[in-house]
Amino acid sequence: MTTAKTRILIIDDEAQIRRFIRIALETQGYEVVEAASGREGLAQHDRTKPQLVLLDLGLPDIDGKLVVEQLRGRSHVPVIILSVRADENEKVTALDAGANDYVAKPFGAAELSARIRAVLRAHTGRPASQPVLHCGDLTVDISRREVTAAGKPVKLSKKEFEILHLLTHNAGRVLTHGYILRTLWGPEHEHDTQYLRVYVGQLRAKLHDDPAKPRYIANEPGVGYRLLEQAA
Amino acid sequence: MPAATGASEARPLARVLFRHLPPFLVAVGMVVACTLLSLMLSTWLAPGSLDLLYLTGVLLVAMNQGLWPSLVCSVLSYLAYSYYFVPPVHSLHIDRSQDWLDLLAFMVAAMITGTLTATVRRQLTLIRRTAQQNHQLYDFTAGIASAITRGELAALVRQHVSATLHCEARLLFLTPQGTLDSGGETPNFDEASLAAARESLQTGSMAGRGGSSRADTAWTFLPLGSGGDTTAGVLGVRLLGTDDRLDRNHQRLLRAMRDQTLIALDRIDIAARMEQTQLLKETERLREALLSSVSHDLRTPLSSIIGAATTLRDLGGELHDGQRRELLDTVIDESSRLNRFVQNLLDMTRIGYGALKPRAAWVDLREIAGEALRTLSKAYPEHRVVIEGADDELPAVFTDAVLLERVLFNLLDNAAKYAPASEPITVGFRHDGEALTVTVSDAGPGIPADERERVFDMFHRVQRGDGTPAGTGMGLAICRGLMQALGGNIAAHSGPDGRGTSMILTLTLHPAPP
Repeated sequence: MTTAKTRILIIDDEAQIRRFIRIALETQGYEVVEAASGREGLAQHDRTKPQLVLLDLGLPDIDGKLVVEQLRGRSHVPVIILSVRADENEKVTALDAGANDYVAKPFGAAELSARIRAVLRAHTGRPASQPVLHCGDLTVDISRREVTAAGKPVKLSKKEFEILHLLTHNAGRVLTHGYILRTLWGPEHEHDTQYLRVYVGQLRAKLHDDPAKPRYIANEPGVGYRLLEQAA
Repeated sequence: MPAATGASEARPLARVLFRHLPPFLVAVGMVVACTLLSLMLSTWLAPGSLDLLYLTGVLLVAMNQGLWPSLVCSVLSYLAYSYYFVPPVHSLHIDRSQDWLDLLAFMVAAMITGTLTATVRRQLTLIRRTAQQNHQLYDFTAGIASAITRGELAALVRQHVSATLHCEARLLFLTPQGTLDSGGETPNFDEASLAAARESLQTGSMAGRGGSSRADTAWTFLPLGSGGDTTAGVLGVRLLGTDDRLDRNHQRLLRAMRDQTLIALDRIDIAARMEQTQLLKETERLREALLSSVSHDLRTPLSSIIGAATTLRDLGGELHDGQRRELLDTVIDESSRLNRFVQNLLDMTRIGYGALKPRAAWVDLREIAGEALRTLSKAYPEHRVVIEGADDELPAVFTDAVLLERVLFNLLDNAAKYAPASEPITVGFRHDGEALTVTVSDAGPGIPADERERVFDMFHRVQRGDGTPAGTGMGLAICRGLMQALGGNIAAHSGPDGRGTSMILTLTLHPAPP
């Protein structure tokens, strides 16, 4: 990331939205490629090989979810969904189809930049075998299964530790309820959201995290959970 | 249940005799005729073969007059035969035991054949009657099959029952309020009849005249159902004669017609429910379309505005002048787009509530077109518009300038949205003394012939493979609503040379301005 400019592909049918995103991203040193439809977007992806894709779900030609699937068939490029749709299911479907995160329209320039940075870092950053994960004042030691929050050790059960490990590993990214449940409990428990709610509740209590003003685990209503990245 | 035969006890003897005597008279006449004929033939024939003549007479009576007259006939025949032809003649006394045996055999044969024939006759009558009733029932079922509403069913049932049973008939439905409704017809029932109808409704059995309860009324009622809450209403009949009652056959026929009415009623109610469901679905679809339109068409420009404004605020120092200018343009353009959308929503609501009151005045169409073009050039500066037929001959039009301008702008907006900027949009004026047309043509992808009417439906969008700019699906519906309010018309046609789309507005011309 320090060498060549990071190339970002915007797929959105609204010219005005592309315009402001292009200006905002170019000013921050990214290279921007634009596409006004799903087909054009896929073609641009093949041609320009971007490091990140911003994808609007309400495209005129192809359903956004299908675009995600098509992109996943071609590369591991991280995808951030831009959606005006209030429908949470739409976001969950797109995330489960392989998108990495989403930003709900309307969004500000700073919010988008932060989300882009988080996704790029998670994607190109730490290797999976890293023994100790840090996120702000939260430390997760995987081999020793030890967690410290604000310097104090926290005693976690096996499942609580696994949830925190998964969230920390994907710090800054939203993980859908279905994804967490599938990964830690198995596909047959994919819809047992209440399990997850109980465990996350306990986890928050042990981390002294206030659900109303979370420092570590943020709730994305109807979608999933996200470990907040703190200024380290 | 008192039947027809039981009822006859109350009638004067004379009437009973008048009704039942003729068959017996025929029987007596037959014996007299046989005797006369036998007397004439006895000169040539042996007396022993004359009994066959009497037997034939008994058979004829049995066939035509039934069992009892045939029995009377056989007894009389026996007496006459023994009196005139069995020795000693002119006396009922019989000498020879052989003659006794003959006579007895004759008597038994006459009775058996008479009984058999009469039975056959009765069965034949029954079959004829059943066939007739089946026929009537079939006619009835076919007659009420065309009913689509409860009201139509009531009218058809009334008509067919009264024609079949020669009576007055009414179909009464139980309303949700608990009253009996005869389908818009003022009911001509007295208190007792109404009470009988209610009785029938509650008990689920026949009530009124000839029924198990309240027999002192003019009407007879059969329930549509088995009584209680599930009963849909009653079928009432009143025979035209004051003393007439429904005999068993008519009752059976009436019940069968009631059953058919019930089946027809079920069919009608199910159809009505399905239609209701369909209507609810359509309302639901419109509501969802409106929600998604508002969500998309309000939020998209807002997203651009918020995005551009936050970029200006957060990154302002690093932007160069061109970029800053672009972002400000975005804010302004998207704000006017939002304004147009809100205007459309307001128009749509006013059209929907019928609250649109055009304020007509004499206007020059060229001015209206000019105004619409100015608004368009702000939104689509790259599109070129050509105006045709706007000469001094163009008559003034008595209409609402503001509403007409909105129609024209919506059409131009559509044309600019769907047609490539390289091809000009044409606005053509044409008049023929009675009507004036304004045609907006573009070289866009055009509208398939089978969708040219549906594009005016609220939230209808032409589905295309790709590249279709997002529309609200409201523009053309609003245009049609506005044109109707203005007393004009709007229609979609294929463009000139079969390419693109021509939207044609038709305005009525009024006598020249004062």
